[in-house]
Amino acid sequence: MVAKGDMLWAWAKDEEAVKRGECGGAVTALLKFALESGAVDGVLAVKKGVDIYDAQPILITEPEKIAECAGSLHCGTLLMPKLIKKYFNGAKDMKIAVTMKGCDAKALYELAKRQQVNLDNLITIGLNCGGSVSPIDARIMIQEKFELNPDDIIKEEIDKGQFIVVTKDHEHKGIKIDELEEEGYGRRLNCQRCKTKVPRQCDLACGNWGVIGDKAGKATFVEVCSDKGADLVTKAAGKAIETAQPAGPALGIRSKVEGAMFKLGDKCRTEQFEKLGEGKERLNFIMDQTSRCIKCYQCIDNCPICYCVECSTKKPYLVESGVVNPPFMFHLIRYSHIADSCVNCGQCQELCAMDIPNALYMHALQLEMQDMFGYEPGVNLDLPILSLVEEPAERKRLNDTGDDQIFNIFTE
Amino acid sequence: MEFKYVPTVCPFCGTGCSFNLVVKDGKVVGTAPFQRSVVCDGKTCQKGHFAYELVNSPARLTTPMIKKGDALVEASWDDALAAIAAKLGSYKGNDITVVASANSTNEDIIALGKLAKEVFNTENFTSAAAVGVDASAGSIAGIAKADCIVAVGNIVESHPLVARRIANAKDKGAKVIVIDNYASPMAKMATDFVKAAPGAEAEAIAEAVALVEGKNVVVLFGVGMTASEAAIAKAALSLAESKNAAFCALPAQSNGRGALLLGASACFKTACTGDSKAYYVVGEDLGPLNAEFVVVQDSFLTATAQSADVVLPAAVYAEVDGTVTNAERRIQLVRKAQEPAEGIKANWQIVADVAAKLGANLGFESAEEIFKSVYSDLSYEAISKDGFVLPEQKAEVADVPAIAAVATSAEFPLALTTAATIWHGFGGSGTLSENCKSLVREVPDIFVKISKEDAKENGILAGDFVAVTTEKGSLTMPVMITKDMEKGVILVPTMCLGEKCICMLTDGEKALAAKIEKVEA
Ligand SMILES: Cc1cc2nc3c(=O)[nH]c(=O)nc-3n(C[C@H](O)[C@H](O)[C@H](O)COP(=O)(O)OP(=O)(O)OC[C@H]3O[C@@H](n4cnc5c(N)ncnc54)[C@H](O)[C@@H]3O)c2cc1C
Ligand code: SF4
Ligand code: SF4
Ligand code: SF4
Ligand code: SF4
Repeated sequence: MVAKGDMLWAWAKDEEAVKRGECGGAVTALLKFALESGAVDGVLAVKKGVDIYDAQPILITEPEKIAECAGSLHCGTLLMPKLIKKYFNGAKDMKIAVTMKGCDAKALYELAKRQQVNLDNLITIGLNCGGSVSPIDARIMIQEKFELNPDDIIKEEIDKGQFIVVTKDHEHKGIKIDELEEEGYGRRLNCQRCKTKVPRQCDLACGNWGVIGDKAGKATFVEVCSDKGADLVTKAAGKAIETAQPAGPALGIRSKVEGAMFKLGDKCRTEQFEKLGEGKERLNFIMDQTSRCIKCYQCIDNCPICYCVECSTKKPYLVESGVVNPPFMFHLIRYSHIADSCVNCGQCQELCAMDIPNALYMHALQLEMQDMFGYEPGVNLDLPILSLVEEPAERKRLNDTGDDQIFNIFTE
Repeated sequence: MEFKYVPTVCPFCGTGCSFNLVVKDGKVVGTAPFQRSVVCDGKTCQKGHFAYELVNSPARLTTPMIKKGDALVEASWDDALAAIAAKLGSYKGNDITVVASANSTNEDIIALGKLAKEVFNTENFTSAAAVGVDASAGSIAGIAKADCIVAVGNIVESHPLVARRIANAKDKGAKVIVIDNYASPMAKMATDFVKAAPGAEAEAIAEAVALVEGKNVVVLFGVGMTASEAAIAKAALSLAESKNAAFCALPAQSNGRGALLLGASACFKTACTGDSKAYYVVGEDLGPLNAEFVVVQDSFLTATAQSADVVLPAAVYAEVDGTVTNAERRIQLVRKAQEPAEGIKANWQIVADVAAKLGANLGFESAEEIFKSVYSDLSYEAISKDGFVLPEQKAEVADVPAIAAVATSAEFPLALTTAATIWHGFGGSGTLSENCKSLVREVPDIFVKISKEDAKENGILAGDFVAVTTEKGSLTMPVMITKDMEKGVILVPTMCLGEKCICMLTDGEKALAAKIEKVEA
């Protein structure tokens, strides 16, 4: 019997999962087990597309195909929960097991609070996350800093503070992340600021941190974070996965690494936010940068917090239609509607057609509001004020009653 | 349930951004970023973002049609092909003009070129990219490393993801010299803005020469479809040559470069206004054609299709395998994400069927075979990741009469200029954008930008409609009042939507004298 709060090492029994998996293939084995046992109807995971720099989400319904997406893709800067909302009706009529990094986990919680996804129908396998790298940036870094041909790389990993690549001749080369990032290479800027390293919001949190000795690289450290997670591991143990108690100083090492990552995150925050300035200076910086906006809508459509059916940025009385560059109001609407719940997933910046550092402002605003109001997005299921009602129902109520008290939370 | 991503190339402008088509149960339902793209790093403008909407638009053509009396009537493929063979066989050589779509694949263009040259024996093989400007040096990513950029025209709206690279360069300290008719989004990004009076673009470019400095200079020009393109390009090329700079003329269409490289390059204007007796038009909207016999292959019922004798329903970009060649000469893969509905075929396949009906065998069974007939050293597999960049060629710009500033008059007191809008394409690209509902929601009508002063003088308020009139024609449209325009200058985007086309106002000119009058909507 495994219970919530347990920590264990796990690896796959299935040889293919062991061979293809990142650290013993436990995640692959658990996903396969969930599908085979009928616990879920499908698995939403990530597979290699045109090469290792291209991470594609895919829904798998046949257990034998799960192994195809084993392994970690560190250029997988995707955001899974928004896909669940957009393309799987928020898992409202289908049970899905899904792999998630920290930002995915936080985004999922925020969508759940807004009634956009049904957590009951999801089994979430969290992956510890030291950060991800945008694919083209990774290729340029490998070319320029590693002096290797990016097409010759068969594997990349982040381990012990290094970004490590393995060539097709099985040559390993690692460079310290600090060094890379000082020169502008390395992880996405939002990842550098990220402090969600072990996604405990998920049913299970899996990663290589804390696996030592002869199991290093051959097992995954699993932190059981929910009863649902405990149930899956209990049932799969001995059938799909083998487990063991973390040996010796494993637990201590794991929390030490996590602590070190927090420190690094704080350092990056300070450095990046400093460049933003304060008060009017900050406002001017933001206005200057956003003045380039071409209104491509990527920042809205890919943000996990943006979910309104009737988006205010599309109301002509707020933002005149068709005007490029759009007025600053376009951005103000985003700041006011979502900054309180921004989970720093970086989508609005990575996908911005004009390379506007949107996530930087949003994250900075979110942290300031957190200091003021105490709301921390993505960590638990506590509600932000805007999520207390369902949008279409609330709009109908306003229309029907002529009430202008939006989100009238005082009547309940 | 099936759910997958299929990477492809944007069907709109010549930048050649990629995105993933999201496929659910065999149908395209969305786009998603393809961060692996060397051209755009997963970013797109709004046209790329919403390009999936046209794929399953209810306006798609699914059945061949033959003109009976005044109306187009649905017909079988056999009857449609027979009708084409019966009529087209009777025309000879240059009596037939063949128009390729510069928004379709290289494979479609190669097949059509064979039909034109080997079966019809006509030299009139053209595309909307054939405006006398053929220049492509340097790379899009390379722009970010330039220390001086000369941008001619509003590249932010004509080629948004190229403009991103200009912004990158500026952030690194590059000088950005912009030549444009008004305070456009491109002009706002300038370190040095040289304002050109409508029609006086070449003069302004000459004036900008003195501002150019630096070792790594890039000159960029977003090619449009007006009669002035070559004259402007000539001035830009001469600036580039005098400063030892790379000159890239960015084609308006996704495969404009491919169309030029593959010979669909007879002068577009001459071919389309000449006295051809018959037209064979693929995916291009030339407005209604008044020829003896017109065949149209298209995915939508364009104005040209409505005037055609035979219309054949063609697949869209998301339904075919093939390649397109972007502004920087990069051949990239377009991938089939969904099967076309029954009755719809790929353009190259239709061309092969027509040829067969005329007794000719074009000799290919698949898109890749067509591709290899021209690019024999390449394969789809070999170009599946980063594409393949073709070598640079010497820039060629047609000799055309010089252009001059628009002469206004008492009757036409305003100088009208035209330029690309980010929301809609023109011609064949316009057909695509008008079938993306999000683009239409944002800009449902052709519009005119006017200055606050001109608005005030004419008693025009935001939301009003005006009749814009030139000696070539008149169109009614909503106004966009903006401080970006100066008094006396107005701008109408080069777009076509519904019944309205910029050509009804300008007949292909870039700049003209005009007047505006308020009308009741
Ligand atoms: C971007 C990234 C960074 C990571 N950083 C760390 C770290 O710093 N420290 C640490 O302890 N662990 C980290 N991990 C987790 C670790 O690499 C292993 O995934 C984990 O130990 C499970 O190993 P496994 O062999 O059981 O997984 P496998 O059996 O190989 O299964 C991995 C699963 O993850 C999915 N996946 C792959 N890439 C992504 C992605 N980008 N987004 C979402 N799902 C994905 C795959 O589809 C597969 O189902 C990271 C993972 C990723 C994806
Ligand atoms: S934001 Fe955090 S959880 Fe998400 S990819 Fe970056 S480091 Fe990982
Ligand atoms: S605002 Fe940006 S960083 Fe924040 S949640 Fe939305 S997309 Fe992610
Ligand atoms: S992603 Fe960037 S360019 Fe696009 S709408 Fe958002 S801020 Fe503007
Ligand atoms: S810039 Fe051009 S190629 Fe890129 S998404 Fe926009 S229209 Fe498509």
